[in-house]
Amino acid sequence: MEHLILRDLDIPNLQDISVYEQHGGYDALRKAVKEMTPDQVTDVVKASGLRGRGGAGFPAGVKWSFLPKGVFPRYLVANADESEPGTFKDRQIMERNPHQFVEGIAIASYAIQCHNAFIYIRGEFPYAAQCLEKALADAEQRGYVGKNVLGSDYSLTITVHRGAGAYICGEETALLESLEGKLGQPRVKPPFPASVGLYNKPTVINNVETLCNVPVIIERGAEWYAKIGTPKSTGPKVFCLSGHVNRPGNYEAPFGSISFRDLIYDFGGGIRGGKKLKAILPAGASGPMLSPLANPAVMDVKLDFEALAPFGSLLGSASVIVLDEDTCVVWAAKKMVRFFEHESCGKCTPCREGTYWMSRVLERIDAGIGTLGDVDLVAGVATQMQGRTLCPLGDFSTSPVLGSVKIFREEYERHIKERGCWARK
Amino acid sequence: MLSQQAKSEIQQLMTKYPDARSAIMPALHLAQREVGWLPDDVIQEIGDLLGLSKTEVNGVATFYTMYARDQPGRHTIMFCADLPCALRGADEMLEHLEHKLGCRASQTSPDGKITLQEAECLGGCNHAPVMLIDGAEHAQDLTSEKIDEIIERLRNT
Repeated sequence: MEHLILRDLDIPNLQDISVYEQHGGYDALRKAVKEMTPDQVTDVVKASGLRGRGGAGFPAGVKWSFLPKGVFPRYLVANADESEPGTFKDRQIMERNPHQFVEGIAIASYAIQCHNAFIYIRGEFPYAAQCLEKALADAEQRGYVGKNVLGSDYSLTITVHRGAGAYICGEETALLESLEGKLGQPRVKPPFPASVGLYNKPTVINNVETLCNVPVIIERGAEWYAKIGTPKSTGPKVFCLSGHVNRPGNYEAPFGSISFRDLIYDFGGGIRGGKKLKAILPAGASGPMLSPLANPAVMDVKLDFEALAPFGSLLGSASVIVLDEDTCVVWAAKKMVRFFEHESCGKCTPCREGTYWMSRVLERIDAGIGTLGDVDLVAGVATQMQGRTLCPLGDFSTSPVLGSVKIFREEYERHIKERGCWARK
Repeated sequence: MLSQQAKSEIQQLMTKYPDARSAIMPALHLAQREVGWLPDDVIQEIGDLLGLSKTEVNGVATFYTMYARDQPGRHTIMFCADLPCALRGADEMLEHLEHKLGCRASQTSPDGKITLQEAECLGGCNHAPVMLIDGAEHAQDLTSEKIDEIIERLRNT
């Protein structure tokens, strides 16, 4: 099947604006601006069923229509702060197919009547930022962004804003704070950004991959698009596959068309060294761990936004990290919790203290100096954090602990009884 | 001290945003590129340009990990040790790198040339292990040979 998002895999040099144009690039923008009203664009995106690809899966068109009527200016912010461990799809899109992203921003901005859009890209992506600057300069020269887009009376400025190392800025209100020149710490919600967002104005925040779907929808129509995927999760999805597989990488497939078995053994070429699969992290560090050892059925469920709920996990941004049979889960959980501890912004106490203590307890279990009560202690800290933190980062930080203790409690206890990790002896 | 050109570029940045305060992060990036790090006087200068107190600018500069408030070596390596990289040998590579440089993470090599930092996910898990050199260049699919070559190159530039 042709790629709709990772089109760079089918078309060489797609980052060049002339190549992008030769393959229908910016036709969707032309159609939107010349033939459609902003509300019509929003209605088409709503009808397509497009859901946010950053992890939460909120319907994009519905998000756009939440902006209060008659309040201007409004802003569109593209969330390119891709920082979830195991996620590297937006980077590939921005480096190799940047114009589809720019076109998506332009169409979405037109739909919500925003004249000033921002791309918040993480500081660790210098090359992607350069690619975007180049793409924007080329697009402006050809009249796709800037004053009077394609000769219409609609004008749009797009500004690339570089972050400087903070996972938390992927959370939309922390991102807005950061863009306003403050510390990247989440705001209390409500009010939601749709009504009180950037500079206290109505704001839409969409993920890179989400916006890249918009030109496809406008060009080929909502009906055509909605046939891809499942009724509730429409369209294509980019799966990021990493860890112990032979061919890690970004793989695009319609929602509901592939299983973990397909992804790992077909797309990914199987487990490295012919080893057995031990566990899967379906959503980077943020989704509870899954294992065929606990429930073999997880391997064959077709993946869409809701598919993993019966297994107690979530697909999120589809950042699939694969762990082979020799991996120590205590060590893996410790690594992930340390990530959250480092990235906790410090604003709310449950997250700041909780990630610190989960990290300390996991360290001592991993080092072989834990006590049998430590397993319940660390799980207890995680349970008490759930639902009590200001933003999802705090909740996510509990996933590595609760997911792994649930499936591999014995392994934790063995670490304690045997005073260390047998896998690394 | 910032050059006159850097100052006028920062003033230019301030006009790009509906609120000039938003220029603080690009201004810090720009200053760091020119000076190599962000000493107190530069923080003060940026504050003066943006109409913010030194404390406010320092707050932002210390919140984000890529801004250097202490003088680093001539080069900075950000090394990813997160899980996807660690599953593909990052811990062993980091150890090799520390041995090669003669310093631990968050330190500068004894010759003062290279500062080593542990980074959080650099978005290169399909080419793990990964490190970012001077905030500008991703080095991917790292092996100890590759690391040796890179260190040699950085020591001589």
